[in-house]
Amino acid sequence: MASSVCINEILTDDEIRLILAKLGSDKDMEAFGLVCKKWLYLQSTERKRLAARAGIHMLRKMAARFSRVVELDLSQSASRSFFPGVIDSDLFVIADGFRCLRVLNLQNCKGITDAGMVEIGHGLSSLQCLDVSYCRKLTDKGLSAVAEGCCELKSLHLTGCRFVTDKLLHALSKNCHNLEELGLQGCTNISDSGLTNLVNGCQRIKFLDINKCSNVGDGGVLSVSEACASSLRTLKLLDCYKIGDASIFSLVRFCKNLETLIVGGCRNISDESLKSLADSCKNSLKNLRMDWCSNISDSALSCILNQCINLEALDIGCCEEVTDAAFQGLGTREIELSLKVLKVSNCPKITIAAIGLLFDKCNSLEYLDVRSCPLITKAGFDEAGLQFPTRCMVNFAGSLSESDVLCLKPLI
Amino acid sequence: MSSSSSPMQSTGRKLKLKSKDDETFEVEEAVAVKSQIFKYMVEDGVSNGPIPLPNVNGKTLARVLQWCQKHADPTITEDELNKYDAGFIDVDQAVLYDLLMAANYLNIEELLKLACMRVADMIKGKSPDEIRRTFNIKNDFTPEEEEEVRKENAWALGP
Repeated sequence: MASSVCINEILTDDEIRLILAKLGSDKDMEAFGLVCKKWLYLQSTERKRLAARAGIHMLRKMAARFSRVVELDLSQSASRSFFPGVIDSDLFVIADGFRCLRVLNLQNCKGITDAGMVEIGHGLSSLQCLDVSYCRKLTDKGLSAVAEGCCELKSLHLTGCRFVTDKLLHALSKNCHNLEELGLQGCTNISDSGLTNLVNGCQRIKFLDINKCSNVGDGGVLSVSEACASSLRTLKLLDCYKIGDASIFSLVRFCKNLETLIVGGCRNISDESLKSLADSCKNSLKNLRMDWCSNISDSALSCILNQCINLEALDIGCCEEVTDAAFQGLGTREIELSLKVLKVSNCPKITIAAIGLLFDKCNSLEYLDVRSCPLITKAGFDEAGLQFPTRCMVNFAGSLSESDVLCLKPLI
Repeated sequence: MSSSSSPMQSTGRKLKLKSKDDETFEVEEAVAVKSQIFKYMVEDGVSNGPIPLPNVNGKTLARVLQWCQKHADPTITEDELNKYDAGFIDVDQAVLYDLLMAANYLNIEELLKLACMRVADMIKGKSPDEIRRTFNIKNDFTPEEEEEVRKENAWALGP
């Protein structure tokens, strides 16, 4: 249907954008962009998100063409990186070209250093989310420059950035008052005073991951609980072996909206504080990981099972004192458990009877880990004539690898 | 115009509109308010004299009002409406663009959607060259430039 009129001479850019918005497929969008330079410009500036894994040689061109991109994903997989991958000069281009950027993902871009981060801090004042997990060369110097330049920062992920110290926490406290998510897993230099300093300025934190920050103790957690109070939804303290009941009691006191708590490996925690937690967070708690908390007994576990009505994932592996008695309360329970994931590996006193009670009151179970439980075997299940809930995967003595269950993410 | 039990139509109030080439139209409020512009005017109790519409010519305005009339009719079924729309928008490009621009200017959401969808349908499934021919657009890329863009497209993934 050829025409004597030319659409570009009649419709405005905005009207052509409206038409572009109605094209569903990538293929059509691509064809649209190849029609003429005006249409290429409209298509490119409509683009809000870019992800690229094939090498950054085109980055400068991308910045020129897709100037209104808001989200840029240059993350690499841990195992397969393109050599040399993203380097500082690429960050210079990004800081200069993608001025509207709000989300930048550089996970596993191991080549970048502080120099690149300084440029990011100077250029991207609208940045809200930055992920530099496993960018191991980064130090306080570069990251503080980001804190100072990107005051709108809401989410910062620094997993594996082991050179980070309390100095960065101070910079965040001073500059980034909207911070909601902070990932510091493996940043072993972080201390209690750093955390106290952090939450002085950052009181809206919803998600705090200090897994394996082994210097952290009750002092730091107390500060976080009190300052972030009802904002705090997720707290991860894996292997923070110094913390004890005082930390849990502070959560009881201040953090009524806690949904995810990871205290695996925190051996000092006892029944008393966990029972309090079960009570205070009975509506909010969804994910609880307390493997290797060897002091825990039936008393605390039964409180958790009976009171936390929204619990979806529970890990009590290696809690060797736990017995079937903890599950007795399930027998008289009216409402179904909403549990999806239960890990009781290495709990030698639990028997099939307990699992039977669980299956009875829990239809939503998707994954059950009973590895190294000598009294729980496949044969035993068959003998007892137990019915697994539909869709439930059961891991006996290493019959499944954890990676088979990749889709179940709650207990990280 | 026709008798009906709809409360809006029983007010019987009419709006006077004047196109850019000085054609005047009288239209019932219930029909006119398909356009958000007129809706606000009616709600604000505005207008005694005819409302001037310097961006729309008489021919296009007549068509648009016809569409509004059909869409304001409470007795018409959805199926009938869809059939009507399909026929209504099957026009040559010059008329189509006039309708699109008028719907945009008068803020008539459904009509704008209809017109844009029609143009989009003329683009879908076509190669860039076919699209150019359909819309009479000159290719201002050099072959090298076009090759560059194709390379860049292959590189940039994501939605």
